Amino acid sequence: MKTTRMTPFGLALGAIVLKDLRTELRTMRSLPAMVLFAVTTFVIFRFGLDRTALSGSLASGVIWTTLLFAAVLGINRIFLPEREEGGFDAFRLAPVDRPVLFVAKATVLFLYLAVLEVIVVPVFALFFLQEWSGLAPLIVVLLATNLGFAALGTLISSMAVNSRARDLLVPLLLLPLVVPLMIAATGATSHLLDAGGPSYDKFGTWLLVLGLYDGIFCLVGYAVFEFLLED
Amino acid sequence: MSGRGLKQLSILAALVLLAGYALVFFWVPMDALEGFRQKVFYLHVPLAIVSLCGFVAGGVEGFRHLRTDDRRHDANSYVFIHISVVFGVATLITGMLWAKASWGHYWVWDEPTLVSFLIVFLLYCTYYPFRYAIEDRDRQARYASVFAITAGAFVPLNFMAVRMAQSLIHPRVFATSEGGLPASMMFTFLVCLVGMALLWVTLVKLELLGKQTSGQVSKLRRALEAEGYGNDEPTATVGRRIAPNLEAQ
Amino acid sequence: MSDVLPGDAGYVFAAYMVFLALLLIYLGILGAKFQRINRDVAQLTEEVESGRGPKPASRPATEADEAQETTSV
Repeated sequence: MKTTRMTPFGLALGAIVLKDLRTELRTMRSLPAMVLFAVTTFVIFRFGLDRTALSGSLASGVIWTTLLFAAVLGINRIFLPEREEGGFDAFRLAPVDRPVLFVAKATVLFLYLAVLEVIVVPVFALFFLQEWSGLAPLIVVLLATNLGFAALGTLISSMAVNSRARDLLVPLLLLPLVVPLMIAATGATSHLLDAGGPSYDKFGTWLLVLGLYDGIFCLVGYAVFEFLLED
Repeated sequence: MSGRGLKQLSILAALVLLAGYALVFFWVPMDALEGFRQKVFYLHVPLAIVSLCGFVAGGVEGFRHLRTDDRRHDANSYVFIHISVVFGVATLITGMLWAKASWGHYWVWDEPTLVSFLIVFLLYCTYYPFRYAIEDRDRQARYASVFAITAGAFVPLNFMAVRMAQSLIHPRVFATSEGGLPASMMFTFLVCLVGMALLWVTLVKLELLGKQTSGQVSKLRRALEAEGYGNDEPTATVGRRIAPNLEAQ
Repeated sequence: MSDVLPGDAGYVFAAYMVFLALLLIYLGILGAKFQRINRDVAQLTEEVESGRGPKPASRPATEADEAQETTSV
């Protein structure tokens, strides 16, 4: 019989996630910026690459680079409420398992990225893609990559949040670490966005790499998070 | 971590390295395909392997630091990573020279191992600004350990992913020269590898000894100042030190 | 294919030289560090041995000296 006086994991998790989502809905701090940034980047790519239609690896590169940098914007701000309003102290005092904050923040980040993609990927398709049939399987790649972003982003953000150059540190630390994720994501996507229609060349292998990456960083993040929270 | 045995270790490292490279230039047969430039292989690959193992070892020490909260593991972690970064610089430069000799370009994206190594190297370069950005000593050590663990877990993953991204039509890859190596080359390679590893350990111990000693000196100085000794000149610690110091607890 | 020997030898030589150079530079840095430590130890020993006893902290003089020192650093 459990005599623990700790709040159950799921309850605490739900509470934090809902709080963050509600705050975001009210203040709209991160998402609009991320979306706007992504769409503007597409315009820049159109002129920078001097192309109006993209396919294959070029399309894959453009969409993932854009999503990556938009994600960095979101990752920079994920712990902002905690840092500004003393949320970390409040959390340390609460009778919850430390890793709950990690899972909660990662979930929130995952949701932000999902919303970002729901808006941005159709815009990308509108701007650049001739062939839309590759978009459906792309959802799988997006979800798998989001998970990796979410875990890694939360971990890096929590490492940077209490330091001095936090806006600089997040991209600095994140970018090398995210390379395998990007390799797998673009590798899978480039064949899906081929001009002649999606092809599934090495699709399974890339998904496996994504899964492995997600698994490793979810585990690592979960395990080390409490050390980051210590005062 | 004392200085005992350091002299023997450094002599051993020097001897093994000398023996290894003597073998490279005077005994081992020339590679039929690559010719003389293959000799860089005996330098570049041991550097790379030792460097990567050093990074992973840094992660292990980071893990031990979090487990035991013993500052020495943090110092170990820092030094392991620091020396491995230095070895990493050597790896990249020798790799670029080999690439220039082989393909005519100093940098080739086609070589997965070199690209993976570059990514890992860039990541560990961020270790320094990351440490520097955290002011509180204890937190800095803890966060650095987290970084070391994360980055250590990242290394094998990265190599796997980059290798997979390789187009399979690329003709000859450096790394494949390891498979099917004739015995004489393998032996020479192993001697060089052992020599590099010994060199790494020697440099690590040297660096740790330096840290320990300067930590003791600081402690002595502070003790003396507390007693009122010392002239009126300020002590030389201007600015923040990012590297952990080892003071006898 | 082995007629590229002269050109190649240059790169091989350069690679080994780079390695040696890096090693020597690193050892040089370590040497300088140990030298500084030795100097500090010598200074501390001298302070203790010269029998300079515990003296009252002379605040004004210290600050003036510090100001002088930092400008010369």
